[in-house]
Amino acid sequence: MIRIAIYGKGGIGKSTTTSNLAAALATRFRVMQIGCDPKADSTRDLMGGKRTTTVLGAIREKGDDVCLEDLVSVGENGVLCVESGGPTPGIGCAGLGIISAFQKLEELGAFDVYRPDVVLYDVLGDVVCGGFAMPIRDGYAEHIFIVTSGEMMSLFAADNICRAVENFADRGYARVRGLILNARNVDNERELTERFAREHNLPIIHMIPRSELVQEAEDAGRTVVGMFPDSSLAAAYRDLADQMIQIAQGGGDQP
Amino acid sequence: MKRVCLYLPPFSGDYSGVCSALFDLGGMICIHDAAGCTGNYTHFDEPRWYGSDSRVFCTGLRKLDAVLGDDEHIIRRIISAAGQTNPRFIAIVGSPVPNVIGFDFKGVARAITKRTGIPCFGFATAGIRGSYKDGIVMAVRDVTEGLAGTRATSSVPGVVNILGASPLDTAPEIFDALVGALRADGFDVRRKTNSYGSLDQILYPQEAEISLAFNQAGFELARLFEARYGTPYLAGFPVGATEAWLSSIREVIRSGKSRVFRTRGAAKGARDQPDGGEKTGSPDGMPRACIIGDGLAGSAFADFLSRRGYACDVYTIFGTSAGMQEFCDGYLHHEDAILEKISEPYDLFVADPLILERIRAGRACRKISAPVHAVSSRAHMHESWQMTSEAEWDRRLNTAAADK
Repeated sequence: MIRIAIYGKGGIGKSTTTSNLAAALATRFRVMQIGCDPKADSTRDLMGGKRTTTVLGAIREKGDDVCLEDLVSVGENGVLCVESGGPTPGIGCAGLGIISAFQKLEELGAFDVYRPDVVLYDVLGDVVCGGFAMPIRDGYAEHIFIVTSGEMMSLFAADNICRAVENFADRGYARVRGLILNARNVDNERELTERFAREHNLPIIHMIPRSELVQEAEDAGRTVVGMFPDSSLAAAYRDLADQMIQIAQGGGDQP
Repeated sequence: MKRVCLYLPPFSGDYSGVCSALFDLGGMICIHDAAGCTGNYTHFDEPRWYGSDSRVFCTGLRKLDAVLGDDEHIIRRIISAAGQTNPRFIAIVGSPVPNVIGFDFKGVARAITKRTGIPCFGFATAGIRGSYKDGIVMAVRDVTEGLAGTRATSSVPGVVNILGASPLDTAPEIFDALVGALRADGFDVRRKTNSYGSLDQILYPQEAEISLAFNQAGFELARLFEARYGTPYLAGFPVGATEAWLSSIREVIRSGKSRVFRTRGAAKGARDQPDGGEKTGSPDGMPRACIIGDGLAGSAFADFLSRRGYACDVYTIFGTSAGMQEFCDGYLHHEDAILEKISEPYDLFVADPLILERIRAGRACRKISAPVHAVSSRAHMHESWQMTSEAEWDRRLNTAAADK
């Protein structure tokens, strides 16, 4: 089982990228995508624009009677979709929410039952507390890819994530394997991102060009890979998926 | 709200089980909590710790450590303490607060191992799920996996491994009597003087010819050791009938077939009603007994009581164990279920005195007090008695009859 966590600044396109990766990989693998964000919108494009029941929502509703069927929905291309969910905005603790959701999935043996070949964790923004580091702890994701643009705040967030992972180097956490450049068409975007990559000794795995197809597909509650399979953008996502799998399996550029 | 305890204390939690399992193995135990709480665990949950020189430390968690997640502060303190005590291993045992803030027990343990070279284990216990039983299983499972050596590739004749035994449910006089019987019969019990276990059990688990279990924790571990090392087990202990028990041990060693110890085959349960209706007496007119506590210990008591003509039901209050239907009739998973069970028309109840106290006054039934440290802690620990002795049971049965 290959377990990958996708991190990056809020709004940079993590969920879009992850969903398209999931849809691309699902033609060859059994894929599970786990959204780790209280907004619970990671898998929206795989679920026809609908929101799914979240793990925490199901626990709140059913208590100890909750079962895996309540938590896992089947989306586009057969991708297994899970949303951790979280508290009402402004109250509660989102980090603890992710911890609790992961514990419930573990308790119910989600991986043993569904036996996915690839698990993609789509994690909210920065690693702001222990809960948001949960997906990269021992036993969860082994590989981290950071989605970034060439914008300063996006690279700043990527730096924070790299430093958080570095701090945990002796704990057996996942390692950052590379950057995914989700282009915003800002000036010198490629050069700025390449400089950042060099400074952190990380490869830029792929550049995803900016395209209106993303918006069009999202408006339809679909992924680009699913809705425009013959587009160059879908091909870019498929190439990215191939490279990530290659790296995760021990090949490709290793930082 | 079913988990709320109105009349009974919460039973010893998973952290107490971890502490109990590791107490006498030569490790350094660090309870990750504020200082005052460690006093509770050591004084009330683990009867051996208070006043002993065992190496148990409190990390002294403070609010700012929790808010800022200052793991380095904790790691430095643990490494410093280990430098002074030179333990065989380190265990970091959790409590509610670290779990709420997402403290990474396994990650921190790995970091400490890397920096000190001393094997370190992290246990994300919180006293919220499960009971001490789960803590014992977790501790022995992980530490054995981490430390087991390869001195022997096959079992050594006569070596027995008593797994999961703890004063939290098996009082010292019971444990000592069973070990005494084993040694008198020539078995080599891996145990330090005055303790329930030894590091040898952990380091060389494959040397044992047989695993013995006296409680549910032991039963779960025995099944694990059977799967991991191929060691057969005998689950349960004798009340009287010591020769039959020793003979069963030899038979399991000879045949390699694990089983639950009984002197009367499958004990007939009081629940075995032909019509599944209201329990108003056993179908054979036998008096009915209800035993509440650890499921495997309860099964040993049921085996004796069935020899005295009782139809017995055994209920655990410490959680389920895979395969427990062999010896236990069910899990009473919250206080309401326990109170409901003791309101049923049994002729005899065997349970911790705090549970027996909840039986309605004036109710016509016999009661035999079987104190369990995980339930009543120090409140009734001095009322413990030799529960492996038929004579002691007969005396109590007669006294209970007089009190009826």
